[in-house]
Amino acid sequence: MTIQLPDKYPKLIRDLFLYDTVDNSTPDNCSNYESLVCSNFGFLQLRLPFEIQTEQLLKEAQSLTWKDKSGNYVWLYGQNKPLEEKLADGMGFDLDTQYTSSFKLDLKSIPAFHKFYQDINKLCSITDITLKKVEPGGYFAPHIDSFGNPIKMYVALSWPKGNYFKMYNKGFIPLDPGKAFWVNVGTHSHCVVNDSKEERIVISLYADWDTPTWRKIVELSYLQRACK
Amino acid sequence: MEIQYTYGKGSAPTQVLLNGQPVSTYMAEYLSAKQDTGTLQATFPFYSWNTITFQGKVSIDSLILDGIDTEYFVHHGFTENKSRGNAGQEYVKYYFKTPIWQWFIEWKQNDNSTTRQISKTHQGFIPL
Repeated sequence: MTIQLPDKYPKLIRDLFLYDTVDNSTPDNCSNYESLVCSNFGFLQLRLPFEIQTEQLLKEAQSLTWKDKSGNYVWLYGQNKPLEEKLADGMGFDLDTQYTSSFKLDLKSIPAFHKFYQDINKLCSITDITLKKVEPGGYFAPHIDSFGNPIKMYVALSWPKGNYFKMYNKGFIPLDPGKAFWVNVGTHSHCVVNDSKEERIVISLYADWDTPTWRKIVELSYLQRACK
Repeated sequence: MEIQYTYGKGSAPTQVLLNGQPVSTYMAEYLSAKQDTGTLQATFPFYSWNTITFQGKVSIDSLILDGIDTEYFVHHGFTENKSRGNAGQEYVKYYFKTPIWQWFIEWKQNDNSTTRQISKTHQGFIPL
């Protein structure tokens, strides 16, 4: 799939959207979790064993005070260090350090997010949750997330028509409210554009993925994948 | 393809080479040329490696290839003393591949890879 964006977006993004025709989110010949992870896959829609309460989560997200990164970022859960340190140094890349994580907000103010956290945390240990907003006309230029866990989970809470998440050489991630995707952001350049008239909000989540339960979820999701 | 460049303060450029040839003999022409900036229109083979060399005692502040700002790539030029940077006593030479969008995305992807970040941060070693 290719998309012609208006001239107001940088040419690098316009060219990527127009000329990168590869739609190959995952290889077709992975036999198990290891082979998928080692395949340099791009992204995979997850089949989670619970329903994501998108409406409640969105309502709660919109009620929060968005003050960081020009009002486009909320740190919900993560390592015990100041946000400035996280933004400057990444996600705790010092492999010799034992990191502990906690909620950054009063749990009473975010019951839906607390439930979401508990549902995921039963499957694998969450290390970081942030909310990210992109205003109409906003974008992130192509980049890779080089620090921390290479694979991230995204859940869109609002995704108005005209929003795109493009991964170089892998395709467009078909994000939609309530759908969860496992995305290899540490390996492949990716880029987001909000060419709509409304803001969009996503949950961005890191975890220690290597648990038997999570492996089964990934393998099942791979077998049932729709976005081949 | 359009090439726009800006020299840093104190630069004393002598000429620009495209794939080793002066602009006047390459498939290229100046759209504008001032003391510290220049815009060229040049033709490069599709899907090929190319070079642009700024000769003289120069520093390069910006390099926009095909409308794409190559940002901090300017600090990855090759100079006469085999070091990397945006300034040279004799020349600064850049390698790039067409199409620019694809080459630049891949260059940035490699430059920001975890392997390279670890090298830069902890070992002071910058693999090419």
